Amino acid sequence: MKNFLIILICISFFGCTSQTPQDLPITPVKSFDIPEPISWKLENGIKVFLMEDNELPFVEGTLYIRSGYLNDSSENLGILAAMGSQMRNGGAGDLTADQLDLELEKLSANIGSSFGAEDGSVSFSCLNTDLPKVFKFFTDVTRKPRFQEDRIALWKSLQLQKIKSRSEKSTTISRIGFNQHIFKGSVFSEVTTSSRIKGMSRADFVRAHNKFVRPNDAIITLIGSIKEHEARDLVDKYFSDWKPTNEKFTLPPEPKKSEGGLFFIKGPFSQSAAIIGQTGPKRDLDSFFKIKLFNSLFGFGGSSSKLVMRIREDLGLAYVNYGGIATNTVFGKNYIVTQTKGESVGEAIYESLNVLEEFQTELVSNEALEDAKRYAQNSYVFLFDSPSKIINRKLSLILQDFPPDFDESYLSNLHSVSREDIMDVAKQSWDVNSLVIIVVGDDKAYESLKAWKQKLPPELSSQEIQVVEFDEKVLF
Amino acid sequence: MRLLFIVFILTIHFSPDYVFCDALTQTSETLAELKSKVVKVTLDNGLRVIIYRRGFAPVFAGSVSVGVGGVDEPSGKTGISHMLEHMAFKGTTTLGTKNYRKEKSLLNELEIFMQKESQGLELSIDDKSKVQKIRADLANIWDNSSFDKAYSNRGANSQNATTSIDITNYYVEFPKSAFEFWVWMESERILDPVYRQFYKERDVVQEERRMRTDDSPTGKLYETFLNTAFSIHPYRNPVIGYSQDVSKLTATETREFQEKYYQPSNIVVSLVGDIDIDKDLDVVKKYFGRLKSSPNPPPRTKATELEQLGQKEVTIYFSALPNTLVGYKRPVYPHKDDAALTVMAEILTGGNVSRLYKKFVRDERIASSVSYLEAPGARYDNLLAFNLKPKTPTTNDELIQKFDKAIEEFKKSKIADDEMLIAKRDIALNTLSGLGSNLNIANALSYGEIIYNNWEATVDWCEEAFAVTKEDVIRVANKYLISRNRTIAKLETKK
Repeated sequence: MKNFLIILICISFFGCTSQTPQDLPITPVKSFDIPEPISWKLENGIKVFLMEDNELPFVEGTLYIRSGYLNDSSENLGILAAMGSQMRNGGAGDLTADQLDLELEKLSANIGSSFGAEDGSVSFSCLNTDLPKVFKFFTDVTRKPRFQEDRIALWKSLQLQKIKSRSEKSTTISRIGFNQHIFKGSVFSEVTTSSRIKGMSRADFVRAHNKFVRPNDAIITLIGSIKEHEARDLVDKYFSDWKPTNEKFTLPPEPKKSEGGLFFIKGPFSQSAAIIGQTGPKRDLDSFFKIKLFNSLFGFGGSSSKLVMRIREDLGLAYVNYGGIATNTVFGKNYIVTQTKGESVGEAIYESLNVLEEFQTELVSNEALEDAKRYAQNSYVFLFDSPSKIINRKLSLILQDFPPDFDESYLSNLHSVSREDIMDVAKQSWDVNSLVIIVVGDDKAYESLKAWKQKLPPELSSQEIQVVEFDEKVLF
Repeated sequence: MRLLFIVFILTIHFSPDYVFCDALTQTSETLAELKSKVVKVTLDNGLRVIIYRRGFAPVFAGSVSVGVGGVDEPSGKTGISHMLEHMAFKGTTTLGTKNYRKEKSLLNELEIFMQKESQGLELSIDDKSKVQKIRADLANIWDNSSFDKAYSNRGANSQNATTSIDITNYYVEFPKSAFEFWVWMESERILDPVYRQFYKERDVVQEERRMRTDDSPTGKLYETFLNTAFSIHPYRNPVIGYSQDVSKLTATETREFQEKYYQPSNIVVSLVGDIDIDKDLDVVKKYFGRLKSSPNPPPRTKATELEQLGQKEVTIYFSALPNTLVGYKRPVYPHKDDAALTVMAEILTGGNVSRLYKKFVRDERIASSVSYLEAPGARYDNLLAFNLKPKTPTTNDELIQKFDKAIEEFKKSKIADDEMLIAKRDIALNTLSGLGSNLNIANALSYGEIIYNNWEATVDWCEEAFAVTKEDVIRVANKYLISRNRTIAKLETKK
């Protein structure tokens, strides 16, 4: 049992002297005991976390696999993600795909599988009475997927249709173009195209499964109406004989710093989508709290953040507007996203860059920083207010390679961030000289971008707007 | 009717078909226990409070729901309830301003000019410069971030609001330590709001409309679909409002609209989580008890949809892949056919072993997806709509033709035991899975109470869903899935 840390720090924002309700003081979050999951490790390396919770007759579980498409070679790009989706859909164990679908539907149980950049997962949820049956299916999907040819063909045909619909949304086009541009020439920039989908085969999926789905450092989480002995029996029965492999996986090198540019992609949209950004810092424990608070103050903090306050609240230019730094193990990216009518996209970009410049040249106010800290501190409880969140918190620390005692010093680390730190993040992580601006919109958007370009910082205003086409991906 | 969660007590007689009755009984017991713990209290002013204590952490979810939405809007004022929802985030006379007296006088001055403009009258150059000056003065008085900060400083989580065709809902999760603040603030939002930046926010709403409708193929198709299906009933209107209506809304008429609908008898407050029923109810009474009840209940539409005499069809052209909505007029709960229609729709398109998914997506591969929706609301008779997305090179018309054939076959077919079982268990499990979150539960309790004047109506609905027979499913298919009763809206690719 861990005692909740928030009790340690008491902040009274308004003071307690006034009697009016508006001055209701901010009182510290009440201390409470956070239930601790039971955990154990199998000989093959699988670590299990169990959180019994009998409020509802449900059980949910997930197996996390500690490898992702970044561990695969670039010529196999897209295959691991595709394989991940097909583990569940192509039949498993003794059951054909149709049989598995029917069995799961009859139980109203769910099993899902997927692979991302750094890890993959297979998960299930079911009524506790159906657990023995569903856990067997879950194991088969994980260890013995059949990858039925007809289901691969179905998946391919649906993917091809999905690719055709990419041009329907300005935001999809701008996002694809942005990633392509900033990660140019690296594995991160690749976009799955129809020719790549068509070229995938069952053999590719089998290879990817054999290589990447393994017990090494895997984690199983179980939450819900399940006793410890049941959990141990099931995990032992189905996973203890799973042999680890010896292959070592490596990550690709950090992508090169991105180059700047101004790009316009024409499309029949009355509302344009703009992204301003570049490659950013990768995830790092030292900068975690500084970036967290920068993001909150800059543009990920809703109406409390300066960017949203300027673009949405003060100027009424956008309904969707946000920005900040997203970090990952190997790469990071900085971005500002705005959706605004074509006529105002130039102004929105100009004002967004003004906000960025203010962060780079002026210290944020003490009050703003304290507000951001208060929010982070007082909402911290929501990382621990349900059994699934408690497990997910543990898991996210492991997956991000953060130390197990990370939460012990969370609040004190948060409070140690200074105004100067926020300015340092803005200055060191954002480089106006290499920003890329991508706008997708109609003729009005182009005219607006052209008109406002002159007001942008010299590094950007000196550049020509490059008009590029989109066909499955942006044709830079 | 499908809700975020649907509480039910299983009173059906188990037939041999119910091979998984243990699971259903277990589910039923869990939900019956939950039901026994929910407390509903009506305050003297008519406001209803629903409380459910659960969880181990010192947090709660609060939802304040008002029985007002797009369906209540007068002609030419579409989008006004949504605009009002946006205004509820702009603060009060004591929060969001440095000098309310001065602000009030400036806002009154500004309103005169803006009303003129909204009536289509051109402002003189002199007037325009006055407006500019007022705006500059207001900008110096406003403290725009204070409302949001008051929430975020106390750890507000998932704070948001939604407006639908039937209901407006404000919700948030907070540490329990902020309980009194939240109750006070939510009551203040209703008692003492100030419509700051109304006209800037109108622009923001126009951007929201561009995103959700004007540039969205599915949004535009849906708007056109409703507009065609309903001839006179306000269910034909978009919740976000038509652009031309939104551009003319004024702060004055929005306030008048609020006074009509934001009265205590039309408001439900739901509290879920770490709630002390007696002590916390006193806090709710203290602040929400200040709302004055009105002798005039909120006006409701008297429009009755015209009887449909034949199939309606509409086509729009958009830079997007083909897509179709096929909708049938149908009654809503408490009509006895409501639950049977939902079970039928589940059997047809509810999952990846449903009839139409297997046929069109998996086997014939002529559709990329098939699904159903019951829309746009639940207060008045609505539509059961099937969303059919043809897969290239299949066309909308080809898929509709196949769909028609499949529906006719369905009407004459026998429903398998498995099909009934899967549909009902899906309803039960979806219901149960919503019960793990304070916020979900709070929103669902409020919704049931606002729509049916009794959140337990959802219990009754579920009983009906579980009592639906195979014969009921075939009967409602033959009764409602007829061309005379339907509207087809197609999106064709713009060349």
